Amino acid sequence: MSSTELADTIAETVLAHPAVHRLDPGPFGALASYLPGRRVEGVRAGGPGEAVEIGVVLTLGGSLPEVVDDLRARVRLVTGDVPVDVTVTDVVLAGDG
Amino acid sequence: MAQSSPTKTESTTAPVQRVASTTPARLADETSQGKTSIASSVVQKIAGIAAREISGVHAMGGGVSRAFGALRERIPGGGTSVSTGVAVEVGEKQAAIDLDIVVEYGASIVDLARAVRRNVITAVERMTGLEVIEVNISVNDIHLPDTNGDDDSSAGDSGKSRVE
Repeated sequence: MSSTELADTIAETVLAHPAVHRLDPGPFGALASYLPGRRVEGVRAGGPGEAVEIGVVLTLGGSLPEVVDDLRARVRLVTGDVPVDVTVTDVVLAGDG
Repeated sequence: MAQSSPTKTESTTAPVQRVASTTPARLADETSQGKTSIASSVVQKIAGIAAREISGVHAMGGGVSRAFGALRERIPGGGTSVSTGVAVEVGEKQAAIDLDIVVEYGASIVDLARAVRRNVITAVERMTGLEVIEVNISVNDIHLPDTNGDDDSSAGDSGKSRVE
């Protein structure tokens, strides 16, 4: 699997979680996968076997660590046995857009 | 890398890696699978919402930040004002919170502060897993119920006309 597909697959996996509002590249927009012609913001995936970093904005409600653990487990189904660093950069209320 | 043989562990049966998801683990437990960071704006919002839930808290923030907050609410994309009056310091495992609140006249400030502190600590610890080491509350104004002139103009429910 090329790194292009990996970052996209991780982004899809993360966004499929019901508590994830959106991916977030962090305060300076640095957390991203830099690909030819575009980038996947909020996911840093170097390649297979490398540690993965994701930044997410979550919907508030319930325990954030539980959501993060769930997210990490889902991402590790895609990436395999690598560390997945999760940063919760912000939260939104359930009613907000 | 964590695959070295368990040399000095006192129990030989204990696995090196704990079975995940037994408890909603503290943030620091996740070492080999990756770490979790929670941004301070997350803690700020949760603390702001939890403090406002307590009846008797009229508003939050000092005079200046409330004025800017009222202005900012009218600007599209200017950000939410739910974190107005909340300052936080967030570390890896702990958080410290400072609150500026305006109480309603007639509330017992001591009891109110205690209730706010308890609710904020419960909400932040339950939702983020961070240990809240302190919640400093400063009451910097009191809201009188019948002063029209000094009232915040954002009291939206007083939309009735003065004349009948």
